[in-house]
Amino acid sequence: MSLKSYQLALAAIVASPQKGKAYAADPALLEAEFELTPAERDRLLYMLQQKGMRINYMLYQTNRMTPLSIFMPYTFKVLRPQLLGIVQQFWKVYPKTAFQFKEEIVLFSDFLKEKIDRDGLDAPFLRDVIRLEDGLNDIRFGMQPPAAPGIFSLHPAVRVLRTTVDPQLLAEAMVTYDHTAAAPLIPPAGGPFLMRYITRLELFPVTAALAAALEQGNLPEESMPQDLVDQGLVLCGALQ
Amino acid sequence: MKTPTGIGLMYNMALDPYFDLYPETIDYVEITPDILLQDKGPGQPGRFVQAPREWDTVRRLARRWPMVAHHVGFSLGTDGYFDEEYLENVIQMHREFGFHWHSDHLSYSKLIEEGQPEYNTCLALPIPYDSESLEMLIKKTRYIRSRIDLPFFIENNVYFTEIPDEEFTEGEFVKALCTRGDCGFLLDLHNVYVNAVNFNFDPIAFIDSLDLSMVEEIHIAGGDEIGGMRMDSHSGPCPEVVWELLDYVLPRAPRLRGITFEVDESYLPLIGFESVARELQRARALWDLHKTPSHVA
Ligand SMILES: [Fe+2]
Repeated sequence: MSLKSYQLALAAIVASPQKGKAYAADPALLEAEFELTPAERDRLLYMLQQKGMRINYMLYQTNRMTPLSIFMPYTFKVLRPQLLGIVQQFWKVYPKTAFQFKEEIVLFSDFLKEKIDRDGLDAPFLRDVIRLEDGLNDIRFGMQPPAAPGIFSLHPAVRVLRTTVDPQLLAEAMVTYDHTAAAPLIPPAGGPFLMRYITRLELFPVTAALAAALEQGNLPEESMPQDLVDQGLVLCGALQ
Repeated sequence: MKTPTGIGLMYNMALDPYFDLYPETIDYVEITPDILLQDKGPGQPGRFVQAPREWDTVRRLARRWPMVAHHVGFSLGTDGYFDEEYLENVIQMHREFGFHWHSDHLSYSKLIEEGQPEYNTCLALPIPYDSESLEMLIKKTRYIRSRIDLPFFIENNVYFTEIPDEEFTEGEFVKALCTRGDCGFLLDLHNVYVNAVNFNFDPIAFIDSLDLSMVEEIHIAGGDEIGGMRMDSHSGPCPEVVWELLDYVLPRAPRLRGITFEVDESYLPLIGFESVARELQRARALWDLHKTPSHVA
């Protein structure tokens, strides 16, 4: 058990400079939390004094942040000025991360949405870019679109996207978005879209009623959206 | 394909055009399968999903060059843990690619606590060079060897904090592991250089403390400095010291099969393909100078 405890303790330290500081100041805390031999305790305390521990902290933070920055680049861009603080709050709530990026990304996205609703977290286009990136990641990670019992269903690479501003113009604006410049003016979306992501993002406006019916799987056979079926956005069970 | 000897390149997606631009610089391609897979997590059906585009590219490379695998996911240093499904997936990939050898690191990056899913330490952490770690590692490398009939190497790591009062030196530890654990040594010369700079020791003296007859592969790379410490960032050309170390090791490593250059994809736009080719050519010049019939047999 001992080597394992030592490894758990070292991992806990590199994940949290605050913990590291606390253990260095009061070794009893370290001993209370982990079953260590005196030699293991001394090793950890010695490591805590070394300047390289700062590099360990930095590497943990960079490596943990990298998947989020790759899969949520627009969210990162709009949150930039407050990003580090938010990410650190996220790590406090979720001190451990799995090897599966998907899980971490879904957790971070949900964490942000909760912060928007509960704490009024705000940044230009924040809710919209999260929705856009949620959709993209849902498709990337091969999650199934919401199960719909009806005849018509969304293609696995298609999701309904509801944004307040035009999502095509939003995606284009995000490429060059700079938080230090004035936020670009983007006209309202005017309704939901179907987003398809195979090798690039494609967007197709649909009516709110059609989007809802496709998601709920209660679109009647007689109102088959022929053009969407022809474009491969909607699959027709009766035809399969 | 014949077991390669010579010069290899660690694959990443940003290197794709390189293979048509400078094919003559490469004798084998080293891949890290983990970066080309989506891991849905232990116990999940169809756990390892291949990213279609990347795997197509790798398959095309495998038709042109011998392949070797460099894993990051065994997390061999983790006490009380062995990922059987991960090994099964390596076996599957070996069936497809016919790797000529494979390797992983002398460190740990995954942990598991009672009743909880495994988690990521987010950086490769060093293991103490003690008998407890040694016995644990020997069991694992022997087991891997028993399951896949393929040479398996273990790579020396960088560390940023020193562990005091270890039972073995790194050289003693690696020698015991290779001998009793039935594996070879992947000597990363840039990692040696990084540790030597950060902990103020002579890299040649360190090399002399290793049993170089265990060395079957060498990694070379470049790095940079952050916060007053040298980093193994694989950011471009090898520093001169790494070339000097390579020149020193080559005539002393009779079982060496290959020298692999590692470069991180995020730095490629900055340094360009030409500079990668220059590193491989320089490695080849040294290899040609020192190679013996025992190397190329
Ligand atoms: Fe390496």
